[in-house]
Amino acid sequence: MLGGRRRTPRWTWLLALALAAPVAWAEGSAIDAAKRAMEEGQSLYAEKKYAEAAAAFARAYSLSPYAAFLFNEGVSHERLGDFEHAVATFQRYLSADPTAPDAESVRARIRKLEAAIAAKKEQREPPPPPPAAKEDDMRALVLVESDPAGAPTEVWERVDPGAAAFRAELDNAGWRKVMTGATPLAATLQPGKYHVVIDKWRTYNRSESDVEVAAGRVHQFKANLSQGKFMAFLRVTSSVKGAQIYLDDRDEEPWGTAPRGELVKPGEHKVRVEAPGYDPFEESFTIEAGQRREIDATLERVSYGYLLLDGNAPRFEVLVDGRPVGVFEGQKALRIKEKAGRHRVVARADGKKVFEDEIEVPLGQSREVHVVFVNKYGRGAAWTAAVGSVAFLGAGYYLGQKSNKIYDDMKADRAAGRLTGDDARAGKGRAYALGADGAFALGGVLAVLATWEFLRDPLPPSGAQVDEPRDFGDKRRKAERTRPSVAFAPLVLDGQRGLAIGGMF
Amino acid sequence: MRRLAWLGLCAVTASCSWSRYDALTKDPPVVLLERPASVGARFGAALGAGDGVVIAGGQPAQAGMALFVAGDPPAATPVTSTCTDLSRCRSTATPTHVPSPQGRSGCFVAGIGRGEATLDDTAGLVGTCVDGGAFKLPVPDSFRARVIEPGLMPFSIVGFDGVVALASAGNRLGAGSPETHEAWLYAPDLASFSVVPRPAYAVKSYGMAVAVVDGPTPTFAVAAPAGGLVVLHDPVSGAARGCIRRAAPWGVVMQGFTDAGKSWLAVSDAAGRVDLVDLAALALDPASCVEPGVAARALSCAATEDLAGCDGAAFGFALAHGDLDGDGDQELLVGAPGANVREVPNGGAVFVFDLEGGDGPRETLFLSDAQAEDQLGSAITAARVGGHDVAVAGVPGTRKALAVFLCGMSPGARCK
Repeated sequence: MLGGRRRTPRWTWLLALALAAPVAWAEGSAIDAAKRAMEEGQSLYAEKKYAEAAAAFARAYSLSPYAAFLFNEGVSHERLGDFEHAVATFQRYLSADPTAPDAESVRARIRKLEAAIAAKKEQREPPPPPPAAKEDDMRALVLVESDPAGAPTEVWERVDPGAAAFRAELDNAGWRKVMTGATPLAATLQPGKYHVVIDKWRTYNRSESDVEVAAGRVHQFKANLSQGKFMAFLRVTSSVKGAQIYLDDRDEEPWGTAPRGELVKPGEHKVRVEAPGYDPFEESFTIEAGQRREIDATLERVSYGYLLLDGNAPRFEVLVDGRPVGVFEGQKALRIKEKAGRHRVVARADGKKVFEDEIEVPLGQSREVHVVFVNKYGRGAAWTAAVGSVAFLGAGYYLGQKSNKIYDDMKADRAAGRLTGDDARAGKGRAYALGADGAFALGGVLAVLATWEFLRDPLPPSGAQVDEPRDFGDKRRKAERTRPSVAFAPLVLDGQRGLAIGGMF
Repeated sequence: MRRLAWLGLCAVTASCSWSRYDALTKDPPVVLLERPASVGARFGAALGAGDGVVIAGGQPAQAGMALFVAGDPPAATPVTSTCTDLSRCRSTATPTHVPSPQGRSGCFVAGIGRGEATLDDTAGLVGTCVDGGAFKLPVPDSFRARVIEPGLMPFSIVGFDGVVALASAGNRLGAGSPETHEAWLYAPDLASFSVVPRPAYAVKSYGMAVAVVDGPTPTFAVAAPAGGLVVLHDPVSGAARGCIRRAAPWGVVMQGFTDAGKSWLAVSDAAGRVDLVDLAALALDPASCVEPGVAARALSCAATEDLAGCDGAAFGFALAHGDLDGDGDQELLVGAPGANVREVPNGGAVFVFDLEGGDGPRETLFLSDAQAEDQLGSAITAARVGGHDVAVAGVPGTRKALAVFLCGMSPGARCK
């Protein structure tokens, strides 16, 4: 179980195999430095920069005193024609690893070099020079480790290229045991195919693995003795730091957060990397025992974002681009998922001015919007003036009609020749006319006043505090908002004005 | 801008110009002549006109008479007054114009009593002229003995229009008295008179109203309203040519005149019934009273927009005639002082009937000031102003004035 491995107990044993590539867990260690030096030397050697290669191998040995470095240094000196240093280095090699599988061939090589040196000193015909060193003459360093250490270990070399695959229970013709020891074991090997076997030991299972040894490389093995098999190494990185990594099973707990590297079982796997606000990344792959795989998950933002609306009204309705999208009920912020981009947001609350504004929905992020509603300006005075205006205008119309009727009657009487100069109706008609004009004047003034009262609005419009976008699930902003604070604001309620004080704790 | 807005408001009802009433009441078609101090209560209850002079008095007691010069506008103050001792001017009869007595003009005859404490010889039928002159008419002895001489309460025996009735036409003046049940006609010089013989069937209230009619059928009509009778006398011989009758009290008010070559007698009961009688068309029986039949045409008081109804209007309370429209023909004026005009109680009105046309009298003008309790039309007459007659109506009620309807029936500046 991967999860189990994340909670590795002390009695769980691991064995890891590292190929030529750098190994994550060993970065910065002496072995890593030696590996790099080994690789550097190998590279220089391939470029026929033998002096530099010899220096690199020497530096590698100084970092990690593995005999393979000495052998390679010796080969470099030999290629450089510095036989004396070559002999000395080969001798140090034999001293450092007396049981080296190629000890005899190294001694023979020393002898040939010494002969060449002697002939050179005597100024006589030198003996035939030793065979020119080749690139594949480089030795590889194979490190076999286990936890706990001390496990019996054998290293078999396939000497017959046609030999069948190594099987412990068979004779394994074509295979030659080149090393026996206990972990940790460092073997200096020629390039070729080998089979490493850690026998059943104490309560631990047997572990084994084929190894293709390359010249001038450092091979590092680590055995999981409890499981009895070799593991692969997986490293997952992501463009989003902290992205959740799921391995094989989405429903399980995350394997970890990016970046993460860990041993995994060989075989087929599927990695899924998720981060809030990003489209998930998935990749399926097959990894073999001892193999290292790097997966770099580049996550793309999702095409949508969220608006989180709350406000100072206990309840309000929200529309986005004219569509009703929900109602804020005064508790939890209204969460609105919208395609990223600018949207027209409208919030309506009873007794409050409508809030309306263009708000940018962030790409793959959330944006908190705190609507600050302002009370609607009271229209009581306007309605009172309007009703009064209508009443006065009506009265003016009525009185005017009365006056007109009297005037028409009197005019008709005059035309009929029966109007007296002191007709009492004239006084009444004048009074009605004056009353009508007065009523019209008052009605007009009140109408203007009512219109003004209907139009004017001394209160500011409803607004909103629009926060900066933040990633999904980021609580930072909310924490900031809960800092204690005190605020003052003008307050208009039912025509009464005052100052409101509010606090947040 | 403000002015435009103001005008806009005004245009809604066009009522902003209260001053338009000033223009409306300037030079009104009706001029009111206020009661002069020399005239007592109910000024305008008695009216007469002639020679461009209007005489008006009160009724029934302590009412003097004032003479105004008719004109446009009429003089607001009287030229002269008569019977200024108001206690003598009780129950004056309708002052009646008499033409050129003793070479004078603008003279009117009225019944004038004595002062309460004075037994002088000025009581009787007295003529008053606009020039201030006065003259006394002879009266029958019976009348003198019964009405003038007996005591301190002359001319106050009956309630309506006194104890003497006067009427004139042309150069003839007739008089009657229900107190003595007699009627008499004066000679043109007013120096003598002759009592017409009273038929036996006409006793009660005979002489309450008289009318003198010129024209082709000259007649001296004497009414006995208690019997609904009107006795038609020959003005020359005085003999009764016959009698016409309606239901009593027909004959309370009478007016005779000539129009379109016919002699007409308008008879009213002062309570809604007014008949216009073509005297020539009557089939009379010298020995009895007959219905006027087709010779009489009733003048109706019809409800109009101004007049809700005629009940209590006292249609026919006063009668007069004149050429209001200046066409040379006469119009009959009928007073209805109890008319409720435009829902104003007892405002009173004057109906003007044109007598032309074959369909009979036709109401052509309705005159009223529609002022409460004015009782306009309690007395009416027609005064010559300019080229035509104008109606003059007494307003003895609230305002106690004369309403001179200067507009008449000819539209002029006052009628616009």
